[in-house]
Amino acid sequence: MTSTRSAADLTVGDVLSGPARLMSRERMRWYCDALETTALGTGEFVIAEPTIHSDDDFAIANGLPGIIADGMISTNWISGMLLEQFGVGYVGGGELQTKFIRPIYEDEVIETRGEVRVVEGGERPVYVIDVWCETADGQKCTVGQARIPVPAG
Amino acid sequence: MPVGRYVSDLEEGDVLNPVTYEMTPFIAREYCHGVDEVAEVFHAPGTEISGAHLAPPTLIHIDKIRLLKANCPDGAGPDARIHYEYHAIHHAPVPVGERLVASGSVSRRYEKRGRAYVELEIQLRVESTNQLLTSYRDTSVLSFAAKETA
Repeated sequence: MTSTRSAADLTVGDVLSGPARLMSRERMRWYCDALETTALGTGEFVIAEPTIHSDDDFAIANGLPGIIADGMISTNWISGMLLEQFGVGYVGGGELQTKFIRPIYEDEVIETRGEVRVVEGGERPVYVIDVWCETADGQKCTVGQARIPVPAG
Repeated sequence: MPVGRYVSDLEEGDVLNPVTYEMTPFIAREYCHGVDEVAEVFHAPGTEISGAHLAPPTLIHIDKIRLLKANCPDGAGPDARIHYEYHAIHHAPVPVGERLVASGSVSRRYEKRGRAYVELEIQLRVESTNQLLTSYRDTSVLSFAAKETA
């Protein structure tokens, strides 16, 4: 689910939203394995070594209370929301910045959001969109900004 | 020749040896599998929004991993590395099937509240044309637990 307006018709204050998702232990591990598998890139599947994202003892030894999600999971959920709203204009001419300000712990429900802050004019108008992921009780975990060209109407 | 034994050895100004690879359908699809990304444009060619099979723009983060594995072969160092900030500029879609070159350097290394941060600047280009596809700045914390300073 994104804004009900088309990508060319958004205005300041319009809100984007993605689905609520449970940050399960499995989702955290899937990313660890996908990271190692895609970095290797041979077509062979890799089971990742223990990390702070997959092994409680490893996470605790590194000063954390338990495993936390890799920030790229929530970044990808934001990226997916932007792709759904803006299509290839986002992939081929956009920009996404995210910062991980609070860990996401196992079994937290995470929602993805965006809000159009500015529509920059000029020869090539651009949407400036605040983006974030938050817990069910509204604590922001991943925050940032996207800049996406306004599609021709 | 590795730049450092560990990622924690990296210093400001270090230039990483580039990495060349083919962006295969397997890489694009498997990454999508790992992040719940079901958009068909990343899974198959000839979709409604693009005639080509594209890779997710966030795959630039894996270019960082490739560069670090190639340049710091013994891993993070004494502590786990934690990703802090992602910033990608998409100059053009990343096509599946192309051979790509990822290059990068250490733009900053600094300390904040007892923690060491490393900032990398990475570029992804098409090998055959040198076309810039993605510019990426990545900031990581080298250890979550703050160190006592003398």
